[in-house]
Amino acid sequence: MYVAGYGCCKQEILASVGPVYDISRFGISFVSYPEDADVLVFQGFYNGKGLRKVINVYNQMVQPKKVIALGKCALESLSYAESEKNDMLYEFKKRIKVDVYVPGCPPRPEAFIYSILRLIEKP
Amino acid sequence: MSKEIKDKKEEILGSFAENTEKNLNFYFGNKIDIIYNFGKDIFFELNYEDLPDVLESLKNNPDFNFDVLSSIKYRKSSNFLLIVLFSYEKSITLNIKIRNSVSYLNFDLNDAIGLLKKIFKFSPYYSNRDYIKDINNDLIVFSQIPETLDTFDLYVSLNKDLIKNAYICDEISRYNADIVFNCKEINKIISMVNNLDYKAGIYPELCFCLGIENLLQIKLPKRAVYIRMLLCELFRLACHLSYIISMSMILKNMTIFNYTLMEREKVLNVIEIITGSRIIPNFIRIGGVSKDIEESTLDLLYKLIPQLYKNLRKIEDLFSSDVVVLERLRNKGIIDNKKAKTIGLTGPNLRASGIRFDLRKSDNYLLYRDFAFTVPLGRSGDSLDRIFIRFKEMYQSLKIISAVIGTMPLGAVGKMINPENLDLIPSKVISTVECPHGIFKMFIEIRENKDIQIIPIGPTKNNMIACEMALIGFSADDLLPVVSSFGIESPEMY
Repeated sequence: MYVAGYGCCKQEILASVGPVYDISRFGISFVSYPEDADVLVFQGFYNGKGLRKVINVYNQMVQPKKVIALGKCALESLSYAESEKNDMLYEFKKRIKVDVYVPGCPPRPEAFIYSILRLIEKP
Repeated sequence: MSKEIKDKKEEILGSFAENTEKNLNFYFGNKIDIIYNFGKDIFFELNYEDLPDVLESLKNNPDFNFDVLSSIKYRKSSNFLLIVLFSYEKSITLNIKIRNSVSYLNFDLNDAIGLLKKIFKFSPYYSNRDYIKDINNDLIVFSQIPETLDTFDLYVSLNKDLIKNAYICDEISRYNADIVFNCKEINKIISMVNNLDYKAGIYPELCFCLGIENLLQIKLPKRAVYIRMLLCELFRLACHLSYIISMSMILKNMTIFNYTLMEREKVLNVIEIITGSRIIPNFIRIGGVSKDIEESTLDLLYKLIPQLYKNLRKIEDLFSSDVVVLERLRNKGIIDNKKAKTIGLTGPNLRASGIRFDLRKSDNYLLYRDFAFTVPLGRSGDSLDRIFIRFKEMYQSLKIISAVIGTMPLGAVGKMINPENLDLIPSKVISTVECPHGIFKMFIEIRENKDIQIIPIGPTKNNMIACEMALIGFSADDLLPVVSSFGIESPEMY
């Protein structure tokens, strides 16, 4: 799993790694190279350059690949991306297909783990 | 210290601010227009043409001695330029807003920095320096490492194995806050503003509310202030714990990582019971706080304190008994006290280099005067000091929390104020708090159409400059531990 961006949601992802929630019991680990990742987590604040970076990361990932959009910031920016003003977001929405949306500001670690379990269930 | 001595000390400090105001009027009476005095923050407006003369005399005249450039804030869309000067001896801040005599012309930031360059040595760090990316590219660290260095890229040029020059490129964390914080509704602003410090979200809220309360001259009930203090210290604990988590992640010490995550969960649990959310509180209101704390929660917290203290001691022992950790951090990335003063560092990074400066002691912005606590100091200002100073601060926070619970007064937790019905007059306020990273300021301007504009002035840029300075001369292996020891998080920068 590869986590892009920074912000409050990343704090909750960090909490899910620890001994209390222990995400590794589902066989999930975090990597820092996009080539090794199966799932991309899109969360936090982005400007144009940050979005371009995420698109690059997505292109480097190997098929099959899934995307999770996490938190209020990501959901809001993706749902209002149709205007002509934010070209980069619009391009992002065209190129990347999001599989699971997780609402919340920030969503709790349980919600994050639940979203991954849903992804595993999906064919 | 007895109360009389304290009162005398405060009189002297208060008279410093008044004297500075008088001197400002005396020396530049015809150049300066409006002077506001908010405790130890002085604000005035200045014409762009008079800038070099005034700044030079502010620095060199013994009546002022403002020798530290602490921040420059520039907004292109609203043609806004704010220069913040600081003096450690008097602990007074000067906020200078620059006006253009021809209103339709826009400022050029590079022009202004060209003027400032001769007076303040570190002013070029505030300009756009993206051209360094082409020069410094022997070693590039992108913001891809999980959990720690995620808000900036590092461009480093090497001389064999040693670092010759380093540049922290924060282009991914630049976003325009103008659009977000030009808002009329106060409740909306409070719910959004805590994104400015995502590790300790209560501090921006507190800063904004203190500013508006200062403007309206509201006096708070004592219980509300105590609850605010309790939450501030809890968030300080959580923030420092997450700093130690990221540090242990970089040093690959998974025992400390897991232990610290357990302790952080305990603190976040209490915060969740009190505010309803783990990370983003949205708890402080104008005139008080949103809800009361129940007795059972206070009991739970009181029982937790000795447990937390014991476990933090254990984690500190693990840190100090690990030879690998000590060897990788000792005498690396040194910022001595002279350098720290010229850069304008604040917070634990400043105290690690041996300068006693804490707003909770010197400014008394909540009721911190009621409690006894010490301001811990480091010795040499290396990376190891920066870690252990945070441990010591956490012990002091625990001490404050237990004292607050023991003396919690009864009464109301807020005044019945409807923020939609406030009649705010067009004016400007500056408010200051001591957040876990350093001093966090907010410049709040209420315009004629009742729009409220917020400009955050945070400690991150100074930390970045210090980090770039500290890296020079060390080997490339020390890069990541030294950078992460500064604890840089930068959402409040632009």
